[in-house]
Amino acid sequence: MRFKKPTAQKFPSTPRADTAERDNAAAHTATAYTTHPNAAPNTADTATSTCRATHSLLNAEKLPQALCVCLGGAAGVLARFCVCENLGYAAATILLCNISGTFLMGFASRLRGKLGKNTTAFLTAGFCGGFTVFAGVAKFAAQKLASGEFDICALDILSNLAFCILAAFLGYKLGGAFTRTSQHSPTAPEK
Amino acid sequence: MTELIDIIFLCIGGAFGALARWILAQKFDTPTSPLPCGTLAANILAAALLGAVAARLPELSASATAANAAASTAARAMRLFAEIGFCASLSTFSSFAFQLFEMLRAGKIKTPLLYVASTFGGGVACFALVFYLC
Repeated sequence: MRFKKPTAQKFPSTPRADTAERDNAAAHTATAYTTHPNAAPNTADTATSTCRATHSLLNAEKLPQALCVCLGGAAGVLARFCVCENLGYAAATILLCNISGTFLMGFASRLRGKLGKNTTAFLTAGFCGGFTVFAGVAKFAAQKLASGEFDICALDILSNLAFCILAAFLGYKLGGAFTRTSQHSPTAPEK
Repeated sequence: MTELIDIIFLCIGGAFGALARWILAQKFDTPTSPLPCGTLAANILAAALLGAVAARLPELSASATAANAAASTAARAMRLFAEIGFCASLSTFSSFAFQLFEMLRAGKIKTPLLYVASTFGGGVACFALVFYLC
């Protein structure tokens, strides 16, 4: 469960009439997950979703999600292009994009039960994935290794790792604050 | 400077890269596997592709000042599509870092270390290998 990408959260196939119930189940799962971080949620669903993931990928049920991922990827790439055009194509710009993208990733992943599958796919797999970049980090590291600047290579990799994990943590915490406030409010049920 | 055609190429590259990564993640990031293999494969594949792009296509700044305007426009479009669009969108740091965070939160130490080592080792090695082969 932990290894799945956040967008990979699936629910057993339910008819369209059960949508509200399914969303409630999603919200409940998210709540259970926040209160017991070490407890693996919906283990029963995991087996089902694994079977279905191997069964078929782009069926009609997944198509809106795939479309959202495409749109989000295009938007994320465009946003990063704008940032890079203004700040220059440097390792520091990539670092900045990675940190902010990972922060949004943590935030959206925490709120995935509330945002709905399509919005989560748009934000996490789409926008964050397009906005952050690993290939650029690998390219920079390989170039620095080739020119013998091992300290700069190590500094780039370590700063990317440390700041991004920290950003994921902060985004996750911020998402948790949003989850709590809406739980206590009387008009909580929203998708 | 930035023209509409640049943006269109970027968007197409980004959309296809994100879709490819999402499909890989859906297929191989199963909870039973020890590592999120789909994201790992997408990152390494993107690094290898970027190696080919960096070796074969001229730099953005170089192509912009090239003498032949039409050739430079085509090279710039290819560069935008392949490097900044597709490769960058196929690779992801946010999923990678978030998966590391989830592993650390679950109290694991060895798995995130292995994941970091395989992603960076594989990514840098594949980039360098493809760069020198092309």
